[in-house]
Amino acid sequence: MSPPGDIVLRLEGVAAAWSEGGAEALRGVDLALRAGTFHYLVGPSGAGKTTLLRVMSLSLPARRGRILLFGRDVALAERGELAALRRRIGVVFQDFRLLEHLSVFDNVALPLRIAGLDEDRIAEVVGEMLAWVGLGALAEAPPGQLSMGQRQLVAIARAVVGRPQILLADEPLSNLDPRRAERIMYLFGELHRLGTTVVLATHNMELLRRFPHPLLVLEDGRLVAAGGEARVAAGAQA
Amino acid sequence: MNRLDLDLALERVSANRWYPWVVAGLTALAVLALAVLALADGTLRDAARRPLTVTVALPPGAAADVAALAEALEARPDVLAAEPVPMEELGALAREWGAGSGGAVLLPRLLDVTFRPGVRPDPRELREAVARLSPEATVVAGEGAAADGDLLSLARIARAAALAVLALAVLALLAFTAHTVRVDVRAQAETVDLLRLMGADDAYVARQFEQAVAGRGLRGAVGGFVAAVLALLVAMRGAAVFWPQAAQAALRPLDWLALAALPVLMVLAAVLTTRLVVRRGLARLP
Repeated sequence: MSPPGDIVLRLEGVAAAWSEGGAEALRGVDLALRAGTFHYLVGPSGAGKTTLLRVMSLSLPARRGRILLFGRDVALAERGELAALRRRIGVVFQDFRLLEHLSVFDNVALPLRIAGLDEDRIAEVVGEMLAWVGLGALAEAPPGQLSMGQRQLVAIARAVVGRPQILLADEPLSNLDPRRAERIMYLFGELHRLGTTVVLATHNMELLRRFPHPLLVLEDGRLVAAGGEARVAAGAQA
Repeated sequence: MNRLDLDLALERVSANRWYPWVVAGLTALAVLALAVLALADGTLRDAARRPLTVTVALPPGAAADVAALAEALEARPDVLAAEPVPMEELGALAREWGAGSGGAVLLPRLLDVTFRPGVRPDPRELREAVARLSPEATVVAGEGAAADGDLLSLARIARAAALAVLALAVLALLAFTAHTVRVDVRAQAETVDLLRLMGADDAYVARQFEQAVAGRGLRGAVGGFVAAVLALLVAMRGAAVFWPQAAQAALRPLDWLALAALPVLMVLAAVLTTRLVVRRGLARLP
């Protein structure tokens, strides 16, 4: 984990679009996130929340600007170095992106296998994680047999199982019942307490009230406010 | 604990279903070609070690001098020795044939001409050369040499053909592997993208494809090898019955070792091709 207070993710004038030549969904975002912070990413639909998370997770290249991850300019990083940087990030995708041909267990185990953990250790860690999210009995099931809520839990388990240094979650609780959502928020809180930097995109106002954290506010592709220790170049503080 | 399952769903790509069968066919072809190559090499090697001797005969009462003919033949660069067969030996032979009971039998005078190891003279050229030296002389033991020469010509042709087939089989395997892997990489683009987002480096992603090719390739290669060996044993048994001269050629233990190693080497080459193709494909991604 990065020491608390270190800037783990910095965006400098980042613009991005979903397709080459397409309209920009992000327009010059400046942001610096410190290690161990927890932010909600909020804004109206189409404000660019998912685009910003994709840029932060290095799944969408910036059209302009600079992205520094753990102090490293990702545009200058070698392929191997980029892979190592990505291993330090956990992502909960809005559409889950589960591999349908793999079991629940193997889906959750993916980041650990990529990190090169021993299979015995993987069995132990994944078993614990699945038990924690209440999917222990479904470990061998293919994702196709799961409900939307269960699929979302698998996606969350996969994102957090490797204890990432940054957790980026796009509407991670949208399909969960209140009891499960609360349990997952407790899980995210635990990760945060252990030093993980969390950015959670949500529309859920109830969640914001019950588990208060600083906000990053996006509007029309611009970051207009950043609360807590996050810094934003332009716009008011939330 | 090891894990052999892959993160990719490669069995969904149709080319992969055919892959083991294609590998089996090409391996069988390559193994048979290598066996023919080894047999042809063995035949040529044996011939190189065995000096060929032909007999040149002068009819009874011929004016030519045997010693002079022997000297002239020995002057040829391909001839190791040309020695007149002693008259006593000829007489003994004549007696064995029942001609030596008393009367004076006119015997031909014979020359044993031994060629240098590995030399197989063209029978026609030899006959003409002997006739030039002495018009009365004939090559009487030339048929065996001709047959020997035919076998060696056949061995040389078989060797060249086997080399060509072997090279084609290996190249076809590599080309088919490259094609299959390219299709795979395209079909698995989303999964590959997800793996990379989770921090998988190029080696990890390539290893997924390599393992798939190694597994399917080995299954096919073993099948092809077994089929080829069975075909080879049947062919060798058939040759022993119908063509005893050719059947003298046999595979040495080293040849069998090479045959067994070939499928493994072919699969290794396919795995290396896979690595190159996947890494080239990944290098194009951001």
